Amino acid sequence: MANVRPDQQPARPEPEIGGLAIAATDGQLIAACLKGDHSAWEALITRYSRLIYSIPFKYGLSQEDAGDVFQSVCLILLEKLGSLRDHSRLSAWLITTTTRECWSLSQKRARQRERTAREQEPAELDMPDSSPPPDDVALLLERQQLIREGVLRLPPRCQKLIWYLFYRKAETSYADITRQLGIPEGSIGPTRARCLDKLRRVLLDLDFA
Amino acid sequence: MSAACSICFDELVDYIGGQMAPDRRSVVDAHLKEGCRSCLGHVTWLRLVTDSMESDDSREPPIWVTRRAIRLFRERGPRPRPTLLQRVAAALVFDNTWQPQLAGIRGSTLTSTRQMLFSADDIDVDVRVDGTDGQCEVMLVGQVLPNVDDGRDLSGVEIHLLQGRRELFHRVTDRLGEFTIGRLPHGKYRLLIRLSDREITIPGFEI
Repeated sequence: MANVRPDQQPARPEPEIGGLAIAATDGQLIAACLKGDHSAWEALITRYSRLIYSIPFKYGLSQEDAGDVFQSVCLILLEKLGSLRDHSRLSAWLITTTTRECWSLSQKRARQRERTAREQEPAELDMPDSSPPPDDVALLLERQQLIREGVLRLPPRCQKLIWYLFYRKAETSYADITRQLGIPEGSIGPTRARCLDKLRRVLLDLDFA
Repeated sequence: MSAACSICFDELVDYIGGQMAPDRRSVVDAHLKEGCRSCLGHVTWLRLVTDSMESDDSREPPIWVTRRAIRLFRERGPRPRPTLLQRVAAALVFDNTWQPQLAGIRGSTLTSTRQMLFSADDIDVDVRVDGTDGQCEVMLVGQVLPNVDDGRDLSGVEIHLLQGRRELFHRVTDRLGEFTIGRLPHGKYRLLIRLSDREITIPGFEI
């Protein structure tokens, strides 16, 4: 499956193996944060960093703006930690909050461009798309987040194989995988099936629908 | 994959990945057409998950972006309640009102500013009260500083000014460890200084 992939940007780093509090639920991490546990906050931010950081790019924002949106969303999360009601919906809450921050920054940028354009010469303005993300996009983002969390709960060998087979955008042959992971070419198929089966069980625990 | 099902999960992985020999593929196609619920469920799951992974274009933020967000917690996050051992009462070690006034000098010129120094272990808290000479409101300027020169950073320290149990002001020290509370009516106050490892209380002082 997917031996050859078009090389797409950006290149993705290999997912982190292990790490703090991977097995803790969002609710457990939030409760620990509220007791002042700094490592729980770090685990929470690490867990959702890809999700939050990637949304601004879907709105055509720059890398610098994506960093600003990331910081604002984390600040809002910190301020709302004590009042978040449904901890199991944190992922959806973050998508909505990040999207709002993106709109807000897009509009600010559009106003800045408008001012600049007025000062120079009247021209057609390239307005950013400020429409909300369709439900299916939000659902896909939520699903991808949950799958990433599931993959991080697999044994390191499975994490690496899945990353090579499904996440890595650069071209990867079975020979490359054999070289990188030391899995004989003939075992890649059966190992892949075992890893996907483990992922299926992990995602069942995470209420993946 | 029910009791009577001859197709295993591994084969379904090959099937959806297009890596199955054509004759075996026809067998699986026929099996799915018969409506094996278990296999159909697995095929749907495999397609959903592998498509989601392959279309995942999320990006890892630069490390400084993540670190900056993690730092937020130290600056603004909830703090655990300090234990009894972590609560320290500061002692007043200097107050300029203790000094006798010089004969022949008008009192107001000396008493418009009150200077106090409190000490708790290795931390000093310098408190200056401006406008004590009969004005309705005063300004309190403070500085939290180490009393041994260990290069410690005392910026970002939380300062709470309380009257009884009520918090009136909340400040955070600047890069020099200083804080300012303006337009403060005369009264008896208490300062609470929250450091990363302890809480220092400056017990009631009257201004």
